[in-house]
Amino acid sequence: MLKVILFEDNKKQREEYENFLRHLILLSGYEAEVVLATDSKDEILKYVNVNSKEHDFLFILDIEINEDRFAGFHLAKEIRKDYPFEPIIFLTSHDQLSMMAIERRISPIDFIVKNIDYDKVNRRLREDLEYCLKILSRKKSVDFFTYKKRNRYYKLKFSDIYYFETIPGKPNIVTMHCKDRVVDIRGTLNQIEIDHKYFFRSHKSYLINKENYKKIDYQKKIIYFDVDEEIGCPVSTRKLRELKSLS
Amino acid sequence: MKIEEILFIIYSIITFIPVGISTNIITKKLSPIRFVTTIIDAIILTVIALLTQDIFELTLYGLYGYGLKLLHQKIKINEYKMPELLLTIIVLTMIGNLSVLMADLIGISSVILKMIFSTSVVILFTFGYIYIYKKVDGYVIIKTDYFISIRNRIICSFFTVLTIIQVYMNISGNILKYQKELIFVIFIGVFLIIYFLFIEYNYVRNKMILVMQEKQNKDFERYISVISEQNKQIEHFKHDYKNILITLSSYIKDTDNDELKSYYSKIVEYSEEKLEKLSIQGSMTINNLKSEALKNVIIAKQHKAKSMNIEFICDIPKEIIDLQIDEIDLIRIVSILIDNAFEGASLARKKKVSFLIDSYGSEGYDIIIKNTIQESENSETSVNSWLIDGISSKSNKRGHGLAIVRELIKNNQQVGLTVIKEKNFVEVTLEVGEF
Repeated sequence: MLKVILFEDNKKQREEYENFLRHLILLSGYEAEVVLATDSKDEILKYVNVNSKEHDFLFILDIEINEDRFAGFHLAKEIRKDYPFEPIIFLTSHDQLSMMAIERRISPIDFIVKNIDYDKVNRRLREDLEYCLKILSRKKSVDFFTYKKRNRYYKLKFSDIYYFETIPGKPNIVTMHCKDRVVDIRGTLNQIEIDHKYFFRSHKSYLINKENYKKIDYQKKIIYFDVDEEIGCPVSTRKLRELKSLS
Repeated sequence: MKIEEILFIIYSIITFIPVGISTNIITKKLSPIRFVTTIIDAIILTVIALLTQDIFELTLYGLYGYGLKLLHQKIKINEYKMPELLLTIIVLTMIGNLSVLMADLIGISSVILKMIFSTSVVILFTFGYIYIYKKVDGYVIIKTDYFISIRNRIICSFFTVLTIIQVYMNISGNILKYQKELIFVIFIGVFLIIYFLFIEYNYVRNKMILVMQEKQNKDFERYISVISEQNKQIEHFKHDYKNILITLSSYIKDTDNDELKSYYSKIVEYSEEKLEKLSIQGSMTINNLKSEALKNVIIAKQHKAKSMNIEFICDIPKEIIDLQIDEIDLIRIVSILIDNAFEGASLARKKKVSFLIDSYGSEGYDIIIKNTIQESENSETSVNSWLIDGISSKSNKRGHGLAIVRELIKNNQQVGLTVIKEKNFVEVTLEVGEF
């Protein structure tokens, strides 16, 4: 059950959004409910604390509340402390540009610029709601690798990770190579190897995802993670034999 | 009185006057009265010299006299003035002595010619010195400049020692014996004076340019902050106004008054058009970046974007003062990353590059460069191959740039790089500090 929480100070607008969501849920028969629609930050935090055992929240937060231009952002930060991954949608009258920094800190699933035409906003809310419901149903069956950056947690499916490599000269940082990104994270190969069973130390400087590679070139001693043989990393001679026996 | 003695008197008066004037200029107390007192001083000193009939003693008396005079006038002798004063007095009187010696060297035996020669040299030098002094307007601003006081000390010590040596030699009558060595040392002295004056002139002039620039920058900053403030107010109004319209629309939706509805939609149409144009987006925030060099790079890239028809947005919401890594490295990296972004965006349908610096205070900052790319169904070149310059089968100009960046940040514990590629954009983040 997706629990939708709405934070908006303008009474008329709040009613509009709430009504729209309720109607949508009713008509489409979604497994969702608008549990709270308020202009009080404390009320939301209290509700979240009380219901902390249950996850599956969707927060729709207006950024500008009464006099505070960043109230929604501050609330989102509070929420993120306990719920690093729950979906948050921001509603704002500002243009997207000045919100870039906020977006990076919170990673909302959507940033809706308030429009005079309610339909435009409603359409986005509907898309986001459907997206959240889809994610919800998928969530249980997949394993995630989490990492922390700038006090925020991120998560990735293990199946999206190819390998980790050390950086010479930077002892506590490793580079993580994934399907659509390359990220520098704090950690060591040893620690990651211990923490997760998916990885195999193929080389002094490389830790690979043994469930994910496509091909091993025994001559060049390189292991490839894609069909085009562009993404690969070296394997040490010793480990080559071990890897062969594993596959 | 012999003609030589008369000439001697005239010579000493003339030599002393420039010294007096220049000390007055340094202490900024030149006025008609002072001019007169200077001349009187010169005459008194000349009389004393006549009694002793020795040019070196004349020098020393001159120094002594002026020193006393200064103290008597209770001039605050601070670190800056004293060496300058001594320098000027010593230098000029030494010049006088040197020129006499030089005249001997050249072979001018006639006393009259010697006097004319040495007088001309001293006057030339004095006025040259004063000229340079006045040219470097605002000299006083760098009063306590360490460089200058050190230099002064060096020159003063040198000349003090030289004076003492000369006096000794003169007294002991050995001057002819050591003439060659003495002259050699004196020439070094002359060279030193000229050299230092030259350096000082340039040094002070450069400093002055910096001071001017600082002032200009401050004025500019003040201007920018005024405009930014106004811009902020416009943004606030825009935002409030929009909110009002939105709320109004829901009330109006519920009424039956058709005239009201049509009038309202006219207002909305008009407002939407105006609100778009009303304020300048983001371009003001570049002043939050306190590194001049990096700012210039970004401005240059803005121009480049314009020429390539790419929409380039720069947003720096909070002040960035401490770069935490080497400025030159950072500039190189940012340059490469922005160029890469332009390259990618130029192939996209909607050409857009955004540049954001997100500050985390003492924990550092992130530089995020995002650009649109040519949409393709399957990602032809993945992010990973961009960074590996060797294993990938296709060599890629973009990868080369990113590989260079990796090299640059290789040994720096404080820097990390994250590259994300999605279907229609690429985002590169440079993380500086404790990320």
